[in-house]
Amino acid sequence: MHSETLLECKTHRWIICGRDPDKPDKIIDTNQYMVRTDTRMIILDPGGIELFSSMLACALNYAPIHEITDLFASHQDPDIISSLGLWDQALPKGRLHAPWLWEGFIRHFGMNNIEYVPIADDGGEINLGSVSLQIIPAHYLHSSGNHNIYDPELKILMSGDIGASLEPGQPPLFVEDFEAHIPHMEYFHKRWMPSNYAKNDWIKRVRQLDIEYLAPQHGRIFRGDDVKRFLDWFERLEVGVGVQASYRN
Amino acid sequence: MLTLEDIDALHRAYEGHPVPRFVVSATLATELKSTISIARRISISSKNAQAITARAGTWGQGFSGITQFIDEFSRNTIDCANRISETSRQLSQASVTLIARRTMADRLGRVMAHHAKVEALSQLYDKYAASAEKLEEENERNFHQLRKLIEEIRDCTRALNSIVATCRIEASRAGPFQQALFVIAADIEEAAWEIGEQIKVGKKILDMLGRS
Ligand SMILES: [Fe+2]
Ligand SMILES: [Fe+2]
Repeated sequence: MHSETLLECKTHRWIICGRDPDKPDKIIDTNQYMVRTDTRMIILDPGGIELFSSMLACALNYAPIHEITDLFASHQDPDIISSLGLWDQALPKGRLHAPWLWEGFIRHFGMNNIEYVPIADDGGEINLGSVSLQIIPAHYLHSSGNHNIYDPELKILMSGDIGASLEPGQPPLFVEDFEAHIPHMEYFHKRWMPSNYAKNDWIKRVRQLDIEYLAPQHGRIFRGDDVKRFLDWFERLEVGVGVQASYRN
Repeated sequence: MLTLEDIDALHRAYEGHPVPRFVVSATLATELKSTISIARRISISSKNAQAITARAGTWGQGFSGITQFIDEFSRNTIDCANRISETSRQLSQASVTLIARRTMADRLGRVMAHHAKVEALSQLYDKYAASAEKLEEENERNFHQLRKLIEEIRDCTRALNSIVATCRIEASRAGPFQQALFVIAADIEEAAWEIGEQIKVGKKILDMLGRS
């Protein structure tokens, strides 16, 4: 699995892992993010069970196992957290931060040792000692209990499935031509995102944040002016098209 | 790179529970990856030495004879480190699969204990149990292989250390080329020491594997 440091400062750095060449063909490609401080590491949306071995090997390049202290699941999907049962056996002391709404569901992935730290509907923060990450609510985008992670110091918003794109092959890390990128993300947002009301509410909230990188769980990362371009584009997009699609013409 | 103290801290974090085998083997694979780049440094030093001795003519004859051995040991070390990395990666993956098979077999076993004998269930149980057993045997083989490979690298670094002593003697006879060859001997010595330290860590990780 490929990994590299995205941004760093004195207290911590962000690492992206993904574009795994060993990934089985029919599985959707995912980005996993890790935030490493001097003594701890959190894995954001650690991914599916099929990816676990590669992901573990990747994480150990940055921290020994006992310093991986926290996991975050933006929502309950299998590509987000179906590896939980194995992390549960791997981590000597771990905490999973995930929406309160999904606790009873997520536990189906297997959880005996890790502590479930429920995230309230209005978000909160994850304290990693020297670093504090903000939890930004993003309900119904696409999951009914869903959050993003914002790092005010490095100005990264880990946006989960928002901003996701599906491209064949191994696309580069960053969006280079916004207009050319639209076809890779349009259907994903129209079909997987259910609510225009929720979408506009999220855009309003996120516009108040100072964002340098908008980092989704699938596909390329938006940086600089492309973050604003994405928010403007998303605002204009009608989502929830599955309702019309459920009628046969 | 982890230190011996880090390994102790890792072990302590599990509070007396065995460290899962897939964690130990993935840690070993990660730790010994850098051995490859250190061994490559030795190989480069040896090539530099060859270039110097070629220019040095008769001054470099003594040193020149040794470079071939240095090259051979660095190649062996790279080869062993590559095999360790691959074997421990396999061991880690197979141990993850083993957990899944064992969990399925255990759960089926529990269901079967409470129900009348169901042929389909017991067939499935046998399948998972047999697959778990096979994986266990394979893991055991890989574990022994890792032990052997670690020993092999250790022998290589020991041999390199004794070669370094000869390098110094030959360098001192190289007249105007003496200084350049001393530097190379020191580089090789440092790299061999680094590999030696990594092997100590690797051995300690492997001891954990024996207990998991
Ligand atoms: Fe999702
Ligand atoms: Fe997703």
